[in-house]
Amino acid sequence: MRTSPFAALSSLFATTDEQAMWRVQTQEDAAAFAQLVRRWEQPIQRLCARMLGDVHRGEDLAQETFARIFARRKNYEPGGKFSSYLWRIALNLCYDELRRLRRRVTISFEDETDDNASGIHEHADTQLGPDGQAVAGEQAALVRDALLKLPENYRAVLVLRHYEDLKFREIADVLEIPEGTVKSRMAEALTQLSRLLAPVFAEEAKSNSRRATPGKERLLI
Amino acid sequence: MNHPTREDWMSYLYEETDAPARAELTAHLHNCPECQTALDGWRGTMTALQAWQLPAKSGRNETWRPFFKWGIAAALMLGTGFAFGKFAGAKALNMEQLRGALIPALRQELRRELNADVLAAFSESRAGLTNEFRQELRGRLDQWTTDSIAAANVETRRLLSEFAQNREIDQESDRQATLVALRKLDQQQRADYASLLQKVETVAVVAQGGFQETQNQIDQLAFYSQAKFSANK
Repeated sequence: MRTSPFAALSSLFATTDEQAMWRVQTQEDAAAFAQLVRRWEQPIQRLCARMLGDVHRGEDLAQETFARIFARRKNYEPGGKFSSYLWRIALNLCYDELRRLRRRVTISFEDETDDNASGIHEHADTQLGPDGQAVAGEQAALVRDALLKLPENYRAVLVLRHYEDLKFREIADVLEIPEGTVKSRMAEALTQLSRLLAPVFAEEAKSNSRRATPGKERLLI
Repeated sequence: MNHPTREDWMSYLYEETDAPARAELTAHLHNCPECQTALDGWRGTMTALQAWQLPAKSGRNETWRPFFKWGIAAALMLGTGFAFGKFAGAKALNMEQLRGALIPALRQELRRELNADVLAAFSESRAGLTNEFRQELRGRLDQWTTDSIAAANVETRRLLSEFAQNREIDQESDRQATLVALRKLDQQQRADYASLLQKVETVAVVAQGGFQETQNQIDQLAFYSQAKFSANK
């Protein structure tokens, strides 16, 4: 598969997201919508997967996000960035889904346990099933669990900045809050995560060093 | 000591600080173990976060491919080894002949595999680079557009205010000129009026003289007429 310099050059002048969305809005252009989905499907899937701690649910939510974008295409205001609009809708769907899950967890656990803050976390663990395949390794699962213990608004900021590499200014635009608030949420998220992860990773490091001493196999891996 | 805020450190950690502020924060770090500890903690967490990587969707089908390829290669090797052993045991075949027959084919096969792998890796990295380059350029283009629009707005505003100022000045000078012209006109009118008055007075005086003379002439005529009338009588 070869990509000629001309093809690369012409792709530089490809339709912007805003132009594509404008076509979807005014002409119901299916090709333009397909282009948007191609461009944004994976980032939105990643966002949803990290917000919910479940890759498959993330994929479903990403699909729902695009369905909603299309269904409400007339509501899109062309003034702002399309990507901010898209992230916002996906995040709102994530919040709805988390709320729904929390309700379900509360109902199913209310006779057995207290209503604790880590309800989602437990639920996510019990419901994961095939998600075990998606999370590579024990450490990944530990990080995922710690992230799920964060308040949702902190998690959203952390996922957008750390994993999706949005600038603080862009996140402020998505969440419609001041940039300073985004940064303070980020600081709080990292601090809470440090508290959650430090003992785990310290233990992990200790056991690794114990395991690594007898032979060289560990180093080779 | 005045510590930078947590918000400042977040910009610093994610490299969103401009160069002077960054230098200042780095200098502070060298003298402040407290901030250094906090930053180390956050950095450790950021590294730990990297442990959770999601599988790329398209990668799901790709992961088995290299194993499959090398599996086939291994099976091929095992097969040829097995055939070779069987052959050598049964007929004590000439080793050189067999090697001559097998090695070029194997070499060719391996070369083909290697070429395919290298080409695939090359095209993959090239596609990645192109993508990155494209994104970078698009980002810069967006930035440039935003900057140009902002600059154009500022320039337009400046020109408008300049225009308004100039207009004010022009209007003022027009007003002054009109005032001067009006004053001049007024003076002119006054002068005209005075000269007219003088002329009318002159005419009146002249007319008075004329009247006087006419009166005298009428008196004289009356006198002569009366004298003539009495002489006839």
